[in-house]
Amino acid sequence: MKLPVDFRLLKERYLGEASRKPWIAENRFAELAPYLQPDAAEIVRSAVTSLMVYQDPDYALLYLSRVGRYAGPGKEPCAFLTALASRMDTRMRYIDPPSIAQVALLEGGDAGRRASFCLCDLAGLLPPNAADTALQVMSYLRLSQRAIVLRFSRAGEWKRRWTKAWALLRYARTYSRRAKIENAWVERWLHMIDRVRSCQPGAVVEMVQTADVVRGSGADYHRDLANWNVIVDRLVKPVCDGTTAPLDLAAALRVVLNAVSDHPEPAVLEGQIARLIATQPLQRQTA
Amino acid sequence: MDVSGIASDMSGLASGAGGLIASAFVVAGYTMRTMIPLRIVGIITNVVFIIYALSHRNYPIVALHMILLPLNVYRLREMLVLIRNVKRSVNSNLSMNWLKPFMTERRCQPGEVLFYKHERATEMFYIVSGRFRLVESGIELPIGSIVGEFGMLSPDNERTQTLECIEKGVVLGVTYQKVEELYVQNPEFGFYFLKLVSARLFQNVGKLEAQVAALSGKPAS
Repeated sequence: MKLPVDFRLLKERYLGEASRKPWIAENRFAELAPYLQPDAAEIVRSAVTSLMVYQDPDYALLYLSRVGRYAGPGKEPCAFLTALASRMDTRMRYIDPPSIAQVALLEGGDAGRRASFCLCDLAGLLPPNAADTALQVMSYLRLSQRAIVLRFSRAGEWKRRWTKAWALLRYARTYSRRAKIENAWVERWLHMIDRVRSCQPGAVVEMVQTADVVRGSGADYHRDLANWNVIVDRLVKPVCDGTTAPLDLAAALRVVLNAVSDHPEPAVLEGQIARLIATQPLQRQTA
Repeated sequence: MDVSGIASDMSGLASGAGGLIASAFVVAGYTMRTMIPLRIVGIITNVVFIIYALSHRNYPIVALHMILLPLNVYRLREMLVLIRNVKRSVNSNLSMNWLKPFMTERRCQPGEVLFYKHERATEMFYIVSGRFRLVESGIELPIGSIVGEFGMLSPDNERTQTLECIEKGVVLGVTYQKVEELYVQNPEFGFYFLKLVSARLFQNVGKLEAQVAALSGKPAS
């Protein structure tokens, strides 16, 4: 449905520029494609399509602008761009209740989808100020980590309406606290990649791979996110800042990524990293 | 000749004219494009309406305009003070302290990043306390400095450095949208704001030229 121009302008004023057409993102991709390797170009093309379905063309443009930091006129081709582009797509399409509802609506069968979230994830769908207040109340009542399972399905009138109502929340997603956190996460990941690229270029691929640590939803997601922050705060950042003994970051990251595949608690991972830093210089000396 | 009848007619005409004048000011108010004339007309409208409503003993209207009058005066004063401060800043130390009343406080912990390089810029910050460092250049910003004012006017709207908090502190933040609102509502503010930002940019260019000259051993032109 096409709104009269005044309403479209009002919508653009108060709801951002999400009214942009998909062809703007497609054209931007076409401009970028000649500077991408064929496999990376294919990943970026599919990411643009899926991000437009997940959110809107503006969100796909944000993805393209992030990819554009590593490819474009006058920029050296990046060997890790393929790995980065696919992981960034995955992280930008983070799992929240509207995304599960969208998938349930798009899927053919009536089996539906279910996913576990924490109550704090539901509060995260609110705008930051409202969400902060809600989270304070939840923390006071010790409810923020309580698990809740949401089921979405197309079978039956009421279930379909319930699923559609949740899927509609994607229009409010951009203004939510969770979106702000996820945006900051992606920016921090890219920032750390840039820092590793300048201090230990050999460890860039491993740094890109750290994005695989954060997966899923609910309690698993919160634990994985905390683990990722531990990796960056206790290992990557001190090495880049030069506040720790010089070590082979690529080898250290490989060890940590291997350790994190067992999904340890953040405190356990912190201990493992501390031991690794303590032993790594000796390994280098003996090597 | 019935004098009392004529007097009654005249007072009716006068009160009708009062209503017409007040209505004319309402219409005039709606035609205003910018904030200061709008507030001035609003204040006159409030005064005319108060007199008119008092003469008709229409107390709800009196109460309404008694509320609106101080509100209009307050907003007008706010705008005039803002322009005066920007003008003073242009003519003196190029400080952007005048933005403080429009800023919101944010407490930062060590390690917290206020913005990342290449991130889309949406707000500028005023450092009140604590220590903050631009990660890529390693420059530590002094208390009282403004960060991110050029991002609003730069064509690509991207951050050029990452700003990290290295010691617990407080910053004041204002969104570009808020500055844009002030700019659009008030052309005089907009003019002086542009002058101020350009002056800061030229100041930076001057510093760079001096540095280049110092490095090359030639005097800056």
